[in-house]
Amino acid sequence: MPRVFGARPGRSPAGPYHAGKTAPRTRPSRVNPAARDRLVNPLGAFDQPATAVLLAVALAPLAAAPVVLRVFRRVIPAPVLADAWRRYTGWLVVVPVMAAAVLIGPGAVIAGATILSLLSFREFARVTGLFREKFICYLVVAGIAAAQFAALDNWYGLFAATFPLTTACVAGFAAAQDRPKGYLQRVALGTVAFGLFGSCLGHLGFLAAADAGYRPRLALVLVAVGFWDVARYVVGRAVGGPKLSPHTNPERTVSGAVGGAVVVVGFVMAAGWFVFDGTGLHDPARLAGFGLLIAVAAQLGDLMLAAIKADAGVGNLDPLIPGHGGLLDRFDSLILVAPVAYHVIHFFAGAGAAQSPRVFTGG
Amino acid sequence: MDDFDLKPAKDLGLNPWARLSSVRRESGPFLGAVHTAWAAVGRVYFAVWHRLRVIGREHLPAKPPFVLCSNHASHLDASALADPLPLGIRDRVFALAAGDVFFERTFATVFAAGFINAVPVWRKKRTPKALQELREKLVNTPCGFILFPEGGRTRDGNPLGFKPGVGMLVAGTSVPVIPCHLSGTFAALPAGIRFPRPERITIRVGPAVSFADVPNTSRGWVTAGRVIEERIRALAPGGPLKAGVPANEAWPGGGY
Repeated sequence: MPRVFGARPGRSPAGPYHAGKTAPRTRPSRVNPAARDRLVNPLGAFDQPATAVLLAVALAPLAAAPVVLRVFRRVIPAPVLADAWRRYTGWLVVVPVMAAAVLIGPGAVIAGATILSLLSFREFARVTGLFREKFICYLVVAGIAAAQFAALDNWYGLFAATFPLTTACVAGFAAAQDRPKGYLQRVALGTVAFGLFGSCLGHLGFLAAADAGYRPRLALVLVAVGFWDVARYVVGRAVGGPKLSPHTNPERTVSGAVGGAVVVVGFVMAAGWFVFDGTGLHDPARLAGFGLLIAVAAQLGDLMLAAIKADAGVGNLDPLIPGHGGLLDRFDSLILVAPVAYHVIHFFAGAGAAQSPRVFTGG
Repeated sequence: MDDFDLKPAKDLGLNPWARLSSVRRESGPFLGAVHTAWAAVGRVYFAVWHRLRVIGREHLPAKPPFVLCSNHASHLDASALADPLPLGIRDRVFALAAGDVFFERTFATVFAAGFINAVPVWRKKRTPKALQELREKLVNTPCGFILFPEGGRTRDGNPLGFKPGVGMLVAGTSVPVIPCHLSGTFAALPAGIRFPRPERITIRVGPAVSFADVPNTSRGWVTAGRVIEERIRALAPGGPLKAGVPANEAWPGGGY
């Protein structure tokens, strides 16, 4: 075809106003349509039978708890009973929301993780006073957004880069504010905040985005953390005994921690046997170790929030979930579990092996 | 900006709705951004629609704490007074607004707290504790207050009598009180009018006055209130304005 002077590719030489003669500019999309469609795929919610089983396992305690609480209402002390009902009300909100996100698709999980990260950071900033350092807060929020976008794009390279880059921005721009007094506190809080709510919680999105069969795996992790919380509470209340960390949180007991760990290890061994069938995690010892790691990370996350609140001299966070107080009160144990679970699953079961990386950015 | 201190938010533990109408409210990054954006929009609006003029700009404070006191004729007054303040401190400048007008309906509360950065003063159920809370917020946060000692808008353009409440906030403290006089806001948006008219607004700012040596007693409050009233009236165009005297008689050159 002879080249017409002044004409540009894809445009009619007669000019842009001759719409009928203008050839549409077609540019191949760099986004893998299959991978993009996978981000929201409620029709495939039960492709893996284990998902339905785990959903039932998650919902069963919600159905059983009112019966148990009514039957034992004369045995359980009134304050404990009232506290249990408040917690139950909170679970009634939390479980369906989390289940819906897992079933809808990785896009919903990542959206949920983004909201969770931002709201958790907000609570952290309000407890520590970091919220008054608005510029550092904007940098952390930008870092969280980048980390979650990396999860949406299934681009682990970008995700890994967000931590050093956000740290560099926080440390650098905080120095540029020319306020040396309190510099270390501001930078340390900003960095820890991004580490916890951007980097650690960002792994939740990757658990969903990096694996086509993510639903039972993610559900297993979420249910395990939920069971740990309930078991820790019930065993700790029922058995009592020595305090786990009396200066940090006098309510936590060794018996609760052990009870929670036993329940989680048992649950992960039983459910993981089916969920991780055909992978390197299909081994009783590894599953037990995985369960133990989840329990330890959950307990440390719980103590971490207690330490933050104790250091700041704060009793309660902003009330958001009935029975649980703030969002962090409910999801504190998940913060440290998310990276542990992702890397264990990635190492033994090969998360992301069959998934398209960089769904939106291509490359 | 002050040095960093590991102090939780003063309004921690309140639900979002209670926070909006709480005197203890502190703006975070989100609300701070909304306030700053609104202030930037307001700056353009007042410059274009009302040709805002500030006389005595050099007396305006650069950082909190401070109290801006002025006569009150219109809902535009608080925004107009805040307009010439630096954008960087706007999320720490609070307009004291009538709780029964601005904090009893959802939309008004969201607008007053979210955009104007107002905190409520309950005129009918005001208690010494509430004023003490405001005083502590002013001194300890530290922050800036915009308040109108008349306690309400004039309905006919004539000034109302000043109340000594402002004295309860500042007597015995070194917080500077900056007397201001607003003219043109009554013509632009008097009570009963929904949309502002394009009238010129002028702010006259006087030198700051401190009441550190005035005792924090009822007598001290009255003294402080009287001094502030005199300073504001002295700023009026055409000479001091007396309460109860029609504006046109008191001010040959204009009025509100």
